[in-house]
Amino acid sequence: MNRLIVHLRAYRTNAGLTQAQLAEAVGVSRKTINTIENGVFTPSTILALTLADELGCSVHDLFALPD
Amino acid sequence: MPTNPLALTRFLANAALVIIMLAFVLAILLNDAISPYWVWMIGGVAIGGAIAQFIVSILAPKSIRPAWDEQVVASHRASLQFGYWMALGTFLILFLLTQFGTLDASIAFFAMAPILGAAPSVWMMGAALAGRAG
Repeated sequence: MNRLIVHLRAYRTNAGLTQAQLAEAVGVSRKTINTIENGVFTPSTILALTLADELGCSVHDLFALPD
Repeated sequence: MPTNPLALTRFLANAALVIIMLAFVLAILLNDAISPYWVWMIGGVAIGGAIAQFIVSILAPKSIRPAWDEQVVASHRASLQFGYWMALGTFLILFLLTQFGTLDASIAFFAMAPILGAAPSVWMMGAALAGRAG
């Protein structure tokens, strides 16, 4: 299985949000944001869309498949 | 260690159940007969943990959603799968102990359910410590 490339941390820090603030905004735990950023946990489509919506970008900006 | 109140309560409840189950397994290994009071102690810890989580859910309702987000649900699902494989493994071990060891079949039957009941708790404890359960 291809490992997902995650740009969530960069977009979150650009938005000036901590992991805890983003977690509260999208209704998950801070540890879930942490594991997503580290590529340990792959979010559902709904959570990926919610994260993109909260950060004002598209899902493709946050997540990508390796070339 | 979880910081969310509900996740922390769940972690402590799982830990309490795992600890009493380890004591129970130790008692099985060290004694020929098992006191029926174990049923009350194990059941009391399990139900007490459930009640504690229910109370925390009422006192801190905002903690419910992050404590049961999709990563936790995935971990919980994995804990049940772990319980399934533990059921097969535990059955085989207890069966062999009754056939070739000194374990009485009635004690093995008595031990099966509480051991399996704690298997998902073991997994959830590990998931919590790995940052994958709240």
